[in-house]
Amino acid sequence: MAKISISELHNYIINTVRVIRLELDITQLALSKKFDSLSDTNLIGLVESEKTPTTYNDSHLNIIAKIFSEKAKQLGKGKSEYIILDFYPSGPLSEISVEKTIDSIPKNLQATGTLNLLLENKDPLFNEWRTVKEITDYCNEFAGKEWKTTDFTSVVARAEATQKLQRLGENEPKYKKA
Amino acid sequence: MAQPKRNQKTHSKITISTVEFYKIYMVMFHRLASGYSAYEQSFLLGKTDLFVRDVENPLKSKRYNIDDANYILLIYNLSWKDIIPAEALQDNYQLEVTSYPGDKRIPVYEIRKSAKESGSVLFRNFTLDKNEEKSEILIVTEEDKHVEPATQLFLSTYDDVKIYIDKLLIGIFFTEPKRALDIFKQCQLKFGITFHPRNMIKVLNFYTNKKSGVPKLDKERRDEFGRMLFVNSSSMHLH
Repeated sequence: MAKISISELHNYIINTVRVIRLELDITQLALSKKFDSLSDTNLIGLVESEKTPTTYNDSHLNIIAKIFSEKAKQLGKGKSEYIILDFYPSGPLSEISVEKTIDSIPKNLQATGTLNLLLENKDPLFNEWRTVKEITDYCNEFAGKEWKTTDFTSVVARAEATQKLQRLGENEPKYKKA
Repeated sequence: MAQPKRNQKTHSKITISTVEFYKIYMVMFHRLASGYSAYEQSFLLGKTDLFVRDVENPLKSKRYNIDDANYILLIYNLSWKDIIPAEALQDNYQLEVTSYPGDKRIPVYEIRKSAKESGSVLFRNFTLDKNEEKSEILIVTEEDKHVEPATQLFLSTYDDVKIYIDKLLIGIFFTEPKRALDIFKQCQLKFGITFHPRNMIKVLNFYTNKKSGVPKLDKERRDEFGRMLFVNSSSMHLH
């Protein structure tokens, strides 16, 4: 498979949007549907694929900023307004071509984003019933972080509420892929 | 300017991405403030002569892509907030464009927001007529390729730039392909950060013109972003 070359700037924007999308608990398909609710084309999946040259333009980014703001307000935590400038670096970059690379472990990912990334990657962790502590330990090892179990309590609960994870029983706080 | 006759006016309705529109005309205002012609900006972008003129023409579909916008920041030493809106905008604008021949029959475009749109302050920033700061009309006059806008920047003489380019030609600078922006930045090192590229462009044209100039430089190749490359003609066989 030939490597895809894009500008360093496009690569930066794609990875920045992806981190925020994962933190805001928005799937590729859900975001793609906002562009064309009648289409099955997974635009975000294409952009976030190292095998396709698809990239964002500013019209996409304007729409994404509005969707992110809407979702952030629903979640009611952290930053609530997103603008296109949030997806750009602080200044211009030298114009160089790089291999299109989707960060396997984005540096800025927090607990929610990390759990969503593992779910999106269909990580085998969730093939078995797991406690929140097991999930936390796994995420710490994956992302090289030192999160506490309490950091994941509400994150896992939200994943259950959005039917990404299922819980074994009311008195059995173990989770696996829904 | 004489008033155009009614039958000389043509009216068009255009749908355009708000962000693209904002970006195009913020760049245009920076260009005019720096005293660059559309052609001079096209040259530094490494694009065809009329590229910028076409982007600024509301009736044409040419746009600055994200990489071009990044390159423009490098040309003018700007940051993203200078050309990208600091708020989320509605997706598209419906524009009404009236075009007519102005002085010397140069096309003039009057751009108005559709009456159906509301709530935007976009045009307030773009108004060219300083006496009407809140006007919702943008008037763009198509530029002749060879126009030379007045500039506050440092316009070195043609001869001074030519002497410097001659030195670069003797040295190793042009043995590797260079983009117009690379040459411009090199000239800024020599003549200062306020260096205006007008005479540099004339010198480069002289050294690439096979008919009326001395073709010491070749500009047939383009880089992976489609930008023109200049290389010493005698080095061409090495690349």
